[in-house]
Amino acid sequence: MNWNLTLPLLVAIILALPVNPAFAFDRKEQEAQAIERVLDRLGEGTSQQMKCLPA
Amino acid sequence: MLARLINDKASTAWLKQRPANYASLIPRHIQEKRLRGGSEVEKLRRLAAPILTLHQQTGVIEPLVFRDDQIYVALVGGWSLAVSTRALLMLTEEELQAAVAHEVGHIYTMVEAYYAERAKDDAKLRETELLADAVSALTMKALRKDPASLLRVIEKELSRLAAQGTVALTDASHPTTESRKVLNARLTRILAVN
Repeated sequence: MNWNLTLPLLVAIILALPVNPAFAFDRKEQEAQAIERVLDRLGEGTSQQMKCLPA
Repeated sequence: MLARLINDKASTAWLKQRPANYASLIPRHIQEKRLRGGSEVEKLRRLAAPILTLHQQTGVIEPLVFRDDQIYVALVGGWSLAVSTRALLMLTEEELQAAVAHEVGHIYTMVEAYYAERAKDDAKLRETELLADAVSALTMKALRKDPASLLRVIEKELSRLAAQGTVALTDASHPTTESRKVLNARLTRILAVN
């Protein structure tokens, strides 16, 4: 085995692996998005309506 | 908002009639400790009745009480609302109704949760929990009670677990308490406007 090629090959394989988008966000961000989807499911435009309200 | 969910027949059509063998789907440890009558059973039936009526689940979801030292409120086997004697003792009537409403809220995501569990999709499972939280808040509002009651149940359970030395209530399949508070605050603001 040509060990000089092993590391570059390994790096190439890792970079070629598909990235699951779920890993791109942390749990906090995931749950923030889930909250928006829940509000939207309960009533169209609900979350949009909330963005217009003062905090 | 609640009407929109309740009238979405597609999500609950399969749940309108419980199967003849529904009791066999209840976990054995709950079946073995189940109370068949008495004041605790009557109390749960009384408190659950308006919630089951609102969600058109009277005669479909069956409330049951079982003897246990842990606070436990769960929809088990699909058609049974299992509540422990400890939960009946420790939670106020309003808190208990909020927890019951949360569990009833799971009927709207039963199919999603089934596939999420099979796929080990914890993020999706957490979303179904958040929707159940929303159903609880909206149900309590419809019953002219505090939409934030469920948060008090969570805080009470957190305190109890902390006293036991357990650090957190949440696992991978449940949202963080912070997220649950954020959703509840958002809903409370919506309900105040509408």
